[in-house]
Amino acid sequence: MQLQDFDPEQLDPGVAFRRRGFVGVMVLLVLAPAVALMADLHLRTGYDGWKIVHLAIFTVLFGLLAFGALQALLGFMVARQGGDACRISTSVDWAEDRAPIRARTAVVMPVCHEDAARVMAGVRVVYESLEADGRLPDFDFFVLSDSTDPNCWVAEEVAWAALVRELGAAGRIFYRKRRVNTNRKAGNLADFCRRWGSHYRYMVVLDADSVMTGGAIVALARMMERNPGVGLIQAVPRLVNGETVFARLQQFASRLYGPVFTAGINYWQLGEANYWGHNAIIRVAPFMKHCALPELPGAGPFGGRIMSHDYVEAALMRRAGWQVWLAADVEGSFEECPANLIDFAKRDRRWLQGNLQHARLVVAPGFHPASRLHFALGIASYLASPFWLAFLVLSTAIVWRYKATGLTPLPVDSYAAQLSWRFQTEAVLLLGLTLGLLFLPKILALLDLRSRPAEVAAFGGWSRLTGGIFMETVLFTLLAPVLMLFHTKFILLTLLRRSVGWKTQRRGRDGASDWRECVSTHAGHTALGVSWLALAWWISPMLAAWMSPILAGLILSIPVSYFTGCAGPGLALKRAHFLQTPEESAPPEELARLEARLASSGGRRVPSPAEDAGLLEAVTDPYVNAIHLSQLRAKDEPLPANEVRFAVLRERLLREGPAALLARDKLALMQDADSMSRLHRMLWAAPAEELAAGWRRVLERQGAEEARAPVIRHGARVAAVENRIWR
Amino acid sequence: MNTQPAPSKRPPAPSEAAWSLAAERVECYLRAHHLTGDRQVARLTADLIGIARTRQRPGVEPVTLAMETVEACMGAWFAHLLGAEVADGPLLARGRVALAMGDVPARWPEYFLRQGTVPVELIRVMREADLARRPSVRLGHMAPTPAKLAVSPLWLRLQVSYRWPFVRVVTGLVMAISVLGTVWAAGR
Repeated sequence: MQLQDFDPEQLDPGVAFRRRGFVGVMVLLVLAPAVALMADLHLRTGYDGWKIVHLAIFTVLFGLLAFGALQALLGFMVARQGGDACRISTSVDWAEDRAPIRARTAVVMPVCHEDAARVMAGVRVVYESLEADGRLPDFDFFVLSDSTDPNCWVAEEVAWAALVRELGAAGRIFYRKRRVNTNRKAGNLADFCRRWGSHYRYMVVLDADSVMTGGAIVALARMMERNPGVGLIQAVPRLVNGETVFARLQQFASRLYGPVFTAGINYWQLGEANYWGHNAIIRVAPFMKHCALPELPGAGPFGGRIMSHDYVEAALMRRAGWQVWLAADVEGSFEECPANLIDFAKRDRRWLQGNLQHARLVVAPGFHPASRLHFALGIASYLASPFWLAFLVLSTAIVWRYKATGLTPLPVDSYAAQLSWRFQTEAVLLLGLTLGLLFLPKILALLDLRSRPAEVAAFGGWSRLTGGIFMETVLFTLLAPVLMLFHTKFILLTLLRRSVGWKTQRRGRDGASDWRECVSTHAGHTALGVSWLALAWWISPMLAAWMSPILAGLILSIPVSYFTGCAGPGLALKRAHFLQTPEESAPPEELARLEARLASSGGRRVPSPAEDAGLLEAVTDPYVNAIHLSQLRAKDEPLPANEVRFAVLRERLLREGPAALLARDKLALMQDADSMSRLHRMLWAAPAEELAAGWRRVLERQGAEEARAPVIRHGARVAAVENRIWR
Repeated sequence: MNTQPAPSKRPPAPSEAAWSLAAERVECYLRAHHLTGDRQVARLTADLIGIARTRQRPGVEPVTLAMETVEACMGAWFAHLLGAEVADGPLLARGRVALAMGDVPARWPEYFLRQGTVPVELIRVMREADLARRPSVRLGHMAPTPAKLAVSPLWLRLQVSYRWPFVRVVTGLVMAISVLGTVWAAGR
């Protein structure tokens, strides 16, 4: 980071305008010859409606490709010049500015049905990192739960209490469970803001799988302090802790190519950057005033509650006149990534639905043009898939028509008299241009790395680095067509307001995708790939050869999805220092502590607790019951009708066991402080013959097990109550 | 004429077996608080059962009496340590949280349920351990402003069609077929 020499508030709006204009012109300069070449190819073999549509789709796809590659190129260029002068980090004099941050900051982590042990381990790492930096007094931590599964709820409470006890952090780390999960994550954060937001000037939003070092959080807070006109700063999270091949591919690619891309993104976004939902610091007061999410008029999928909140919150913040920046060079921001292709697709399904909804906002009045561009690019990133599919279908159809008509394509002269290239030369040139743009970011990233030999060594050296790039290129080439089909299907289903049915959600013991899930999910992709290959071969072996990389991805989708989702091969690659990232070769202290913590609490793959284990524990265990009660609000004046209902439910729960109650009744009991207090008392004071057999066994086990256990066991405490008790 | 004596309305006194079961339950409950010393658990159990025997009420099972006694003794002990006047349900929960957070059964097992003098450190630990402590709620305003969207009549018509699945599916099919037909016709 440089010395302070940049004031975002004094930034001339003309700079942003000129930079964006430059990017636009550059895209056009790359796009125009490619479109001209494609148009000429079509012209020379005879135009028709198919080819006009083909050319239109090509223009859209090539434009997106060119825009992405140019961002990398611009990022590379500014990096070569010692970094962009217009970075939010250069607004702070890091050498001099050592004064304490007087503003109170809340570190908030919204969670919903996450692994409680992982969540609390993440909070712990951030807490300890801030403590080590001597910055803890300025920060409070909030775990904001929307979990409705009693098992998750109780596991979170127990893990939180254990964390608070071990760190001596009572009054510093708080847990809040909402009764009603209005508006999901955005509603959860809004609920925090309404209750406690006025205590804090800033909030740092973390995801359940995020980790930020104390240094990174303090750096973000310092940038906010220095720039009172900035409403939000997004740090770039690095992907870490991947074990499967798929996760390691993602973290390798994002770590290697990410820096040039993010530098390029900052080049044109400047104070109109975006929010990615976590690993960001937000100025609370303007966030509360301007960023409450409106409900979109009409029904879904484009109306109703806004599902993908982050882009909209950034746009609302910018609309209110507050700057939004991307801090591309802040070190110490991490997150984890999906372990396999199917989980990745599931996550994309949620994001896709949310992004498509932004179509309503692209033309909504009041937003900054850059915010509109963010919405449009978000939509385009998913619409590119059906466009690509349509492009491939049309390409096949165009070649098929030659076969069907029996006409031999005889190219005529180019429409540009100066172009004396042969037809084949033009085709190869267009292919070269496309491949050049695809590979440009990889080449630029390698060139950028040349000046940092230590980082090359941290990637495992040049040979492993280039080998990793080769492997990543091959595997992502195979995976991309499958994602194309996933996205196309999701878009169609979203438009039809249909949900996607996943036949199984099981995971193998070692974290791998299950074979059955892979087969049932990818059988259609394989069948399509085989059929398409047969068709293409029948039309023209040359067409089959051209399409072979794409069709290979579809045909091999089952084994590729399974293999890349397996932890075994991924860990073998890790041991061989292949697809290695600097965060792996020399893990930051926080990540090392996180791993050690998770290892000590039974590892990442905690067995699922038995059904009703959370409820059993919260009723039976004196400590879990007390912790649970401490987080429930006692009713001032309970309604008589509710009292009668709860009394009946309590009796049935104890006499007949939890299976006799509906899930919503069990949840209602768990949310009622009086009932949970009474249940604990009634259970222990009831004669054995008045209790369901399962409760009797639970009581017997309590006495036997608890005396040998620590007072609050960290992590998967709830898993201890086994299913067989109720059989 | 029935010569059998009329059944007594007074329930029979609890058997020793019932008191034995009550003692087992109390012991279980103490162990659930992570008290590990067998002798201490046995002594506490005997003391608590002894008190419960003096509180017998007709028709009340020994196990219920015993657990009522445990609760009363714990309530009194918590009130003493936490400086509370009323030993109610919330105090029992707060006391148990304090036991867990301060690791009291492991650190001061000999003082568990003991009335009278206890270490000052134990009192301090118990009083400081309060999980319910949070920043005060200062309700703030965060209400969304209604979205101002450019709504076209076509959009409204599409929205209406979305309310009826049949219309939605037919509209989608007609549009898809129209696009394909147009492309096909243009290509001929």
